Amino acid sequence: MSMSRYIMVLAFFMGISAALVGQEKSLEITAQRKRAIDSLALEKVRDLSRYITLVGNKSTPFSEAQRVIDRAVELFSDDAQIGVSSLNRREIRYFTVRRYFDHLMALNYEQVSVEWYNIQYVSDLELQPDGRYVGVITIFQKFTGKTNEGLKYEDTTKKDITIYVEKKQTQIGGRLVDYWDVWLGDVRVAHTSK
Amino acid sequence: MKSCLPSKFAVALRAKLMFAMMFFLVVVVVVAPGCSGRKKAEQALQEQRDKSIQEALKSLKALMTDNGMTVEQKRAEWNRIKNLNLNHAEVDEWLEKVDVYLTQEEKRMAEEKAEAERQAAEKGKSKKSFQQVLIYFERIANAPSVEEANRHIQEALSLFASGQVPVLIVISTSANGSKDYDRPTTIRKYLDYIKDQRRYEMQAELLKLDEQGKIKELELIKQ
Repeated sequence: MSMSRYIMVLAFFMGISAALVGQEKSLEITAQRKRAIDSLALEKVRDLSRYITLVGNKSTPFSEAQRVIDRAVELFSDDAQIGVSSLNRREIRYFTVRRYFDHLMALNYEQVSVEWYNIQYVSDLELQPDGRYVGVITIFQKFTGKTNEGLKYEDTTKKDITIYVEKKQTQIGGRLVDYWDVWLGDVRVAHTSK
Repeated sequence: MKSCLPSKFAVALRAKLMFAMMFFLVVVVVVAPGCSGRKKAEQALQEQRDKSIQEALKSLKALMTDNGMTVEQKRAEWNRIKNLNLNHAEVDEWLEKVDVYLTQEEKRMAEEKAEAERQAAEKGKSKKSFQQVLIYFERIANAPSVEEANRHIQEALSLFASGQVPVLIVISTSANGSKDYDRPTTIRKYLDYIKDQRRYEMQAELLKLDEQGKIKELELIKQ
């Protein structure tokens, strides 16, 4: 390879690198904005927690439960799955979001209580090459189910939820509005205990 | 006898000559200086008129610029110049030009005033709507039953143009004033959200009303 061709190839790759660095810089966000997005993602998980509690609650009217399921589904990506574990079996079953809620509604208990607590980041939101931010939030779930006969099942499960954040744009009232879209990916079971 | 006749003729002739001379003197002494004064007066008047015309033209041209005068002051000055009745083609031309300009300015001012009054009225209405919306948020969040929450939702929806009215939620505002939003939602979904979560942590940031006084866009900010 002649010297001039070598310089041209080097310049080409330097140009591409500079463009990539520039693109990454433009996607970087300020600390204040980052805090706001972190907080928004945590809130989405809390919203999900409330929806699970509502659907799990046997006193929630069916029509309300169905509406809540629709809202909950909107929190997730289309292909997201939720893991379900039990102290009575070793395997972890994974359901699509709607099937998970249908399953929750159909549980053979007279009373069901699902509570989420210790909701926090285990993996900070990080910028990915595709421009999205990805992080992981962990939660602890306390499940209690009581049968008519007075039998009680209880477990505590640690779950990891993948969080995606992406800046998007939409038109509202004739103007373009930039917004941060936060959605949830898989909810994976880390471990289950009594 | 012979000497008498020429003498009478001579006397009469002398008298006529004397009269003619007196008349000439009167003309020379009285009338001639009078003509010269009138000319001077006419010249002075002409000079004064020329000066008025120049001043009027200068003033009229200034009225077309942003000379620090209000439109009302400009119109008063235009009226003053018009009332001078200068009967001068260029002045008349400028009077017409300035009149067109001032009429446009007066129309613009009237429109701006009407718009300011409309905005003030809308602001008053918006403030009232804000308060009503926040009262409903509170009632829905604290409703003791789903039925009561749904009743409050129906009442709250009557304030909005439809259930599909967009709701924007500001999650942060940067130093330069740019806002970060959550995913936009609709008022129907947002009211259900308050019912489901049994809480709201928002303040109304911006509200737009339609011609019927119904809310057509709502922006909320996290407290």
